[in-house]
Amino acid sequence: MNTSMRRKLTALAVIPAVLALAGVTAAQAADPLDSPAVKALYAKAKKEGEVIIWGPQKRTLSWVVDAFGKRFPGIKVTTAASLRSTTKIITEAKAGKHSVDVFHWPISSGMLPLNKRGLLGDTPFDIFGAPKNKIWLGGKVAGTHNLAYTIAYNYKLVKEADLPNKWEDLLHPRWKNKIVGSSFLTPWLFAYLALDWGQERTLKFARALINTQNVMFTRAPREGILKSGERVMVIGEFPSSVRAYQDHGVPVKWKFMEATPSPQFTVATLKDAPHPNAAKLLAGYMTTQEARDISNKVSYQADLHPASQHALAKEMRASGTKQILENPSNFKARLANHKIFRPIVTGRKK
Amino acid sequence: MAAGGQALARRRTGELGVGGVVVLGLAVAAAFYFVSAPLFTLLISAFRGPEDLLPFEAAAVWTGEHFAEVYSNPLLYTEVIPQTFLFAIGATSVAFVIAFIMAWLIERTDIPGRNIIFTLILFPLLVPTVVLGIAWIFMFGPNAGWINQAIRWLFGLDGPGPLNIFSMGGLILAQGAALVPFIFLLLSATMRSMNPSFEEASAASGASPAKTFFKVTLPILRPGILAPVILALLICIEQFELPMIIGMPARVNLFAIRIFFELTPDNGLPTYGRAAALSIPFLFIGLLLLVAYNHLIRQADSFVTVTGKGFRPSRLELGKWKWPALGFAFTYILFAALLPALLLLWISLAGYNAPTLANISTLSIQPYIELFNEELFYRAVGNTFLVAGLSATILTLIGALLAWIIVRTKVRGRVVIDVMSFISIGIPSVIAGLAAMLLYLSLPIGVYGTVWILVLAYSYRFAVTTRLSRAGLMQIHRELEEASWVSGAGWVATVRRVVLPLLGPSLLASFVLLFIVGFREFTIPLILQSEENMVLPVILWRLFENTEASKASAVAVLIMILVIPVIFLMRRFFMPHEKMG
Repeated sequence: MNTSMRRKLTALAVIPAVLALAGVTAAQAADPLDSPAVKALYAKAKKEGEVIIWGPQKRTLSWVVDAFGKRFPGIKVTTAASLRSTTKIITEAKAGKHSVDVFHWPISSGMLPLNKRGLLGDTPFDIFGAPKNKIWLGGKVAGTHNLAYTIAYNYKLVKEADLPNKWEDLLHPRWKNKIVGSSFLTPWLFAYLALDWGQERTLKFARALINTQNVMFTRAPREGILKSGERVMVIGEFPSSVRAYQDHGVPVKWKFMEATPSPQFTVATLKDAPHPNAAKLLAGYMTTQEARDISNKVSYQADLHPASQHALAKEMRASGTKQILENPSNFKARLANHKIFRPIVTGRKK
Repeated sequence: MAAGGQALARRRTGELGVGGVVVLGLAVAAAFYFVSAPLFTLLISAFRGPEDLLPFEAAAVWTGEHFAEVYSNPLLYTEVIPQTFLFAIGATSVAFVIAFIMAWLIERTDIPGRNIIFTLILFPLLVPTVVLGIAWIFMFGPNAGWINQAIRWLFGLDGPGPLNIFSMGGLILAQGAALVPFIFLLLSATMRSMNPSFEEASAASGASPAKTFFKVTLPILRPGILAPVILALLICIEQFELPMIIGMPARVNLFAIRIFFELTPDNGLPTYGRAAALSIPFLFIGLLLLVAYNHLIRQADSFVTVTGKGFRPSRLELGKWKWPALGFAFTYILFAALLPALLLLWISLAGYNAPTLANISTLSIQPYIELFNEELFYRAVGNTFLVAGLSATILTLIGALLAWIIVRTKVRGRVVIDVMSFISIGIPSVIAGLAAMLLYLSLPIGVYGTVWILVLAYSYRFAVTTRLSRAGLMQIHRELEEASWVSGAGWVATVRRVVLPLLGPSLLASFVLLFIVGFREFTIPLILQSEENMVLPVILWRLFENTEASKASAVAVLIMILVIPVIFLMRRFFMPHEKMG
């Protein structure tokens, strides 16, 4: 082998190694969590030592403590879960009290009321690599995952052949006295359907469900009611909740109907957060791929946007359902519709 | 005697001494503070708007829009008002009948196992009503309730039912059963203090037991009976846990449900104004009931049964009626105490798996281990005892002093004290919690987010303790206090040595009741919660909302375990005469 040939072979051997090294370096550089901006923010946040996050359910927050703690040691994460969080933040702020750093909530029901009152802060989501098409409200709010309204049913008590395909199939007499729904979630479901169906059709559907089908509304989790067989189907349950029920041994599955409302779960910092840098760090972290993977694994939180490759997104698309995704064009209409349907579900209006 | 009466009158009007004036003055001031804060918030909020603003914000204006909106809704007249009255009267009636029989059996007869029955009757008070409601749904749900399944299997029936807890009847029975211990405690205190010589005289004069009961026993007990009935009526109107869990699925439309939804928005601010406008009728109903109560017991002296002469209550021998009596007590205890307790225990160990032999292998104590490994749990235990104990003590002592002022003095304005203490029970706990939140967020005293805000927020229900103390004072003849005063004792010494010991049973009943109410209170701490002031019922509710049913049930079981010894201890140390019979 002459020198020229040796050089060529050496070059051939080196090229992949160089390419591999370059790839690794590029990947490292591409990981926003390793960027100087994030590291600088971490240094400031570490001095604050603590961050407080509020959300609707412990289940949607519990993963944050371990994941964030492992990635950014030295910052204690405190979580508080309550369906009244939005109200509490507003009331406290009116009185000049600010005890929350980060808020994790669907955009219409939580972020819009806070943004309207000027309570949301600015967060540098861009340094965490959050896609621009998932940042809203002037950069104050970033998307984390989506929910999907489906039906859930006790598969030991409901035959597959009988399952409805459309929401209005639930008006079949066989489902009378068989359905349960959340008094919190169902008005939001109707508010979405009205975006697609119009108010008149949705009102007719809602009233028939309540007055004819005698749907049981409760603020309690539906798993016990399903497990016992007191009711065999839930209207408007999220697959992530169904997965949690399954983990508890409840024989339950979900099914997509012909239309699937998909609320957008988001994260934001509060303008007067007591730990402003830690708040930005946590909120930004929750938009990263690393955080999304962990939350998906632990809490079954999925990205359901049209391009998503998440298994649930694929399943949803394969079902042929029409996704009604929460987006800037329908934020306010959904909120307005909710004001119409909540009094009907809760009995203030017929 | 007449001279002694004049001496007493003088002391009542101006010679209480510095100690007496200070103690009573502080009691009145504290009571006004505790009650007026939520009351003031309620009244102001009813007339402040628009709904997008808090009532005390600068931009808020005076408005009648909330009343217009609330009272122009036809459903208020066709559903809410009639159904609320039906529910309140029905549940109170159910509770009263059961509680009266129970109290009479325990305090006036020789029924065996009185201590254990007494304790078990209190069970529904131990556990947050939410949990009881869930247990009863598991038993009486029309489709899958275990009792319904057993009945259907036994009689070869098809379809749902025959019992349906999701109905007005089911709700009335459930609320009635939940209320029994409350009325029972109040009635048993009254019956325990009653001198049986009147009944014995009636019997000796040849009156039948029934005649003695209706002509002697009932009239003597009238103030002690009226108080719990009236309080129970108000509580029924204010309660929202069972109406939410059982009534809402049944589409029963009650005041409390309406208020709850106005104050629990799914987004934005609560509509305080509409909630307050809805709550105003509570206050009027409270006032009307107070007027009725005062009218019915104005002949106070006719109820005096405790005098300077000692007595030893005798007990009626049940004889062959012992077994039916035990059967009655057992039936109530079975459905209201034992089955819910067993159900909670099962869920804490096996989740929602059906209680079958096959599922025994699924039992696990993991939920308890997880709880015991959480620092928050221990903090919650300490906070719960502290808040319940301190608020019960404050309410009992201040309430007793208020009752003394109302019954024993001619002080001008005592009617106001009476009204204020009485209508406190008409303030929904949701309102009390939100009022405390608004108030202590505004006041720079640093209690917001601490356990002390809970103590302050819990300490407004004076109605129970003033009614109990008032009924107790009416049964204690003034001659005893007069004797002390004529002998030269000051007011403080007389109250300490004479009044308080004689009021012991009433005060103890009040303390136990308020301690337990405080122990399981979840609405107020839910609104005011922080990591620092966490209490057990909030942990329970958070776990339950988070679909951690086993851990939630484990907390409920631990609440029972923690509270039962308290009741036994109090029963043993404070009611020594129970050893007789």
